[in-house]
Amino acid sequence: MQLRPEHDIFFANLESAHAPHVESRRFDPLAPVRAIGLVALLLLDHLIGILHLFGQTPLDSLDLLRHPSRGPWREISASIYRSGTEALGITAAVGCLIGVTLSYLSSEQLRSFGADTFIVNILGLGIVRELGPMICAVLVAGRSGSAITAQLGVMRVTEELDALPVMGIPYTVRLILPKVIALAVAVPLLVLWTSAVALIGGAFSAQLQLGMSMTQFMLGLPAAVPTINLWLGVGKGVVFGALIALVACHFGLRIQPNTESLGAGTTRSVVTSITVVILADAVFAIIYFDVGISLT
Amino acid sequence: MSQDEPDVQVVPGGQGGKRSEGGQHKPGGQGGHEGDPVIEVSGLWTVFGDNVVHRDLELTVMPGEVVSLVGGSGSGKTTLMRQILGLEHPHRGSIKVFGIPLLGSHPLLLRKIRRRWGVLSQEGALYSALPVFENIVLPLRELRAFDEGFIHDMVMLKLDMVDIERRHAWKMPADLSGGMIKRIALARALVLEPELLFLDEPTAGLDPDRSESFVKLIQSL
Repeated sequence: MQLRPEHDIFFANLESAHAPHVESRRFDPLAPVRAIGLVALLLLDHLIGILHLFGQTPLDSLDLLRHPSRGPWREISASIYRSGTEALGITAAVGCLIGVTLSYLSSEQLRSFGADTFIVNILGLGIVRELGPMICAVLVAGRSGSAITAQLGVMRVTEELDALPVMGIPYTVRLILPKVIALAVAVPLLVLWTSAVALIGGAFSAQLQLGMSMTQFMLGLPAAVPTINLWLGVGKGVVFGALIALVACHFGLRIQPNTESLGAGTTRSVVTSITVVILADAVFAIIYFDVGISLT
Repeated sequence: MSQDEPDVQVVPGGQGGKRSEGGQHKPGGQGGHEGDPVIEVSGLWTVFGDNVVHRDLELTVMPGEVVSLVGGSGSGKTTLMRQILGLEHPHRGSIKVFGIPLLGSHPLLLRKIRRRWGVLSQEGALYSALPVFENIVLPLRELRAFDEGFIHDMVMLKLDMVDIERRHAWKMPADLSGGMIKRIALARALVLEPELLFLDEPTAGLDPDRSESFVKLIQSL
């Protein structure tokens, strides 16, 4: 193979070049401790950010009560429509399927013990008190929570987020408060809707599996499920909705102006929302463990 | 900052030039006295990691002055503007606008200051979910001091001022060209008749003809 003189020089230089010195990584016994510390600091940073929004929301709400004419009513109404009305279909479908599944699984076991009538207790209490609010919260976190984070993230990228405070308009009032109020209103209503559809689905399955008529099922509900459970479910809906909105807004405000950050932030927002909701549900379960449980 | 291309302009009611006299400054509201600097930056340090972007920076903008900040990419022009706007905090130093220090002032006072300036950001930053009319009207509605008829007339006046046809008022920003978005963003920045105007890369992304006409538009304000 023949080389041109200029290429000869190049290969000669290459030959005489020293191999790049790669510094071997020294073992650092403190690395795991440092990593744990960094994660702890990151968590603390997120916690402070969410607490900041959590504290700002009541202040903005008080301001809204003092000057109702200045309220972001259009934004609130639009957010309720987007996170509530538009979610009716998916929550109904999932709720109905959960009701049917739960009813099918329970009825087999109950029949073997001759305790068919307890299907009303299991479905009623399980859905109204636990599954209804939880299904709703998970669906809303995945649907509306991700949308809120992505919306705020895109607003950060396009500088829309900075434009508000620069014009003397506090973004917590125009962007955060409407979303928190909207989800705190929409989620409890969705909880009622999902629970109702899930119970209908469960009652329908009970009729097929156990021969219990829908009327019998519905008439047995008030005795099996004290009304306080309904209020507990609705109360959970309010808390879950507000928490999802706060977490989603927090992550949305932290999006960096690049597409990778947008995707990662949205994923983190949904995962954190669902985790926070499960934590809040556990707190509810501990606080209200002896409220509304009747074995009659 | 090196001398390169004009990027950020600060216009306290004035006309073109790198640092020129002209225009009318109308002192009013809190913290503004005739003859006092509109912007006063002193001993400003901004550090990103090992990179010192602003080293003991001093800047004074007097009423009626037009100041252009020029420099290469990453020299800290936009960062300085964002610090003056209160969107970022410097590591050291003080920034006063209309004689009021931005750091440590009460948020309500800062909100009042912010209503006395207009800002045109690099991308225009129009709200993509709102039509042109609603975008321009945003600062006016926030004040809650005007009736709808006045607001409508004001928006149309500003659209005329930036040479945008009124029929575009109900279009969404996505339906507009880059040049039109910049003009509409300028109309929004001007809607409260600001005493101080910030323009961040006002001609970036525009073709030479549109860029020239935009500069003429700014000069005509």
